[in-house]
Amino acid sequence: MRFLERTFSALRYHRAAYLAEFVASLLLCAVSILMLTVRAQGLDMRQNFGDRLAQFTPSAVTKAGQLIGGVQRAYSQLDSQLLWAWGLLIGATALVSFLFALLFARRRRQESLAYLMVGKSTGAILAQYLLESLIVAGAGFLAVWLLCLLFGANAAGWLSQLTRAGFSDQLQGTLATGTISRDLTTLMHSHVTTFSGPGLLVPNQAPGARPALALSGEGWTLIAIVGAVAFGQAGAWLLHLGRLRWHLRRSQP
Amino acid sequence: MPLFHNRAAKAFQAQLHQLFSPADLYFIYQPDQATLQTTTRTYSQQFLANGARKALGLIDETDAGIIPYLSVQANLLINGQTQSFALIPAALRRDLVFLDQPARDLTPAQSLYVQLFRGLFAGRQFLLMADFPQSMTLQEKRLFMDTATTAVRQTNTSLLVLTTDTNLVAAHPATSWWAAPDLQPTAAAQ
Repeated sequence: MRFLERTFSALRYHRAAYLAEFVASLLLCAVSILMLTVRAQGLDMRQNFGDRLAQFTPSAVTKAGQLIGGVQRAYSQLDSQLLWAWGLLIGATALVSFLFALLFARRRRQESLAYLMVGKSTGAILAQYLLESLIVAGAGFLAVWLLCLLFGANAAGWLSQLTRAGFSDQLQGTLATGTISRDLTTLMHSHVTTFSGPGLLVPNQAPGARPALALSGEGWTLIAIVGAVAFGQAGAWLLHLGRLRWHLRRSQP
Repeated sequence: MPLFHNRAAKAFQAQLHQLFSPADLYFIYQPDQATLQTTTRTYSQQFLANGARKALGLIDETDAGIIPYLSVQANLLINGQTQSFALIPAALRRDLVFLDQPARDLTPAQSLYVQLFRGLFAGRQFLLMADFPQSMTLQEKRLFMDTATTAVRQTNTSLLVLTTDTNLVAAHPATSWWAAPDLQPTAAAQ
């Protein structure tokens, strides 16, 4: 109980710094969820493309091989780029957390010294400081999750357009416009479908039950962002506390 | 090695009890502040080196170890509570406003009391105090010493006061040293 009392007292005392961390966590969680939603939409579109492609005969598919290969490469590249970008975001989160904690450590130097002088272990002090940050990061995530509940459907619609645009850019980087039109015309002439040519390449979401949350990746965002904050800050605090402990022990008789 | 450490630690504790028994206030004269700081560091290091870290509590005006955002009461109990809260004088114990306030604005004298009782509640056997704050009047020092004497005798703790004040040392000849005793036991004693 005293540990929790110290934690919440510290949160109140350093509220300005933690408010900044809350806002940063909120933004990072939001960007993460947006990225993962675009990725999930891309994967959905790729799956639906595969399902619609199955309606065509093998010979028609073979004739449009260049187009189909290009589409699959475009989806693959889009997915890969999003994963890399998301990975960079998580890495940046850990780095920003590390730097934030280093700066914060200077402000909390006297406090850390006081804890060490009354005999608190490095582990106990670190646990308190990390718990403070994790509470704030968790609160940032919760705020984003609530926003997703309220505005997720609208955001998902806007993101869907973004995903389509991203895919189109990838495809046009892979294939010439002429090739796309030619192969698409060949395919659409070989079979009667309920969808148009563009509807094959960038299909809408398949009918069926929609999830309660229109956005994706909340679970991965929570794990990754909170994990990055914890690791980033743990490194900085260990450095700071280790230096203080060495400073306290430095004077030899 | 563990056997050697254990024997050394026991010899060290025996030396301490020989020097500072029964539980009381003990005054150790220091000629100047620099020597006082050196002796404080030396004694602290000897406690650490002999595995007696948990037996020692520090009382220092400059490095008080007080957490500013915790209440006075939380600071008192930060290392646990091995004694009844009745150990604190009634006037202080009943001042709930003072106990509940954040500890960031304590006066040097108030800080001294908090550090004293923090060490006693934590069950420290020895408290090492690096002199009285300059701002404390003679009356305040006397009040602190009376309070501390009562409390340490109750808890079987010895309070070692390093001081540059010759009057304090002269006024307590039975529990004073003009030269700082060596805490390290001799090789024969080990």
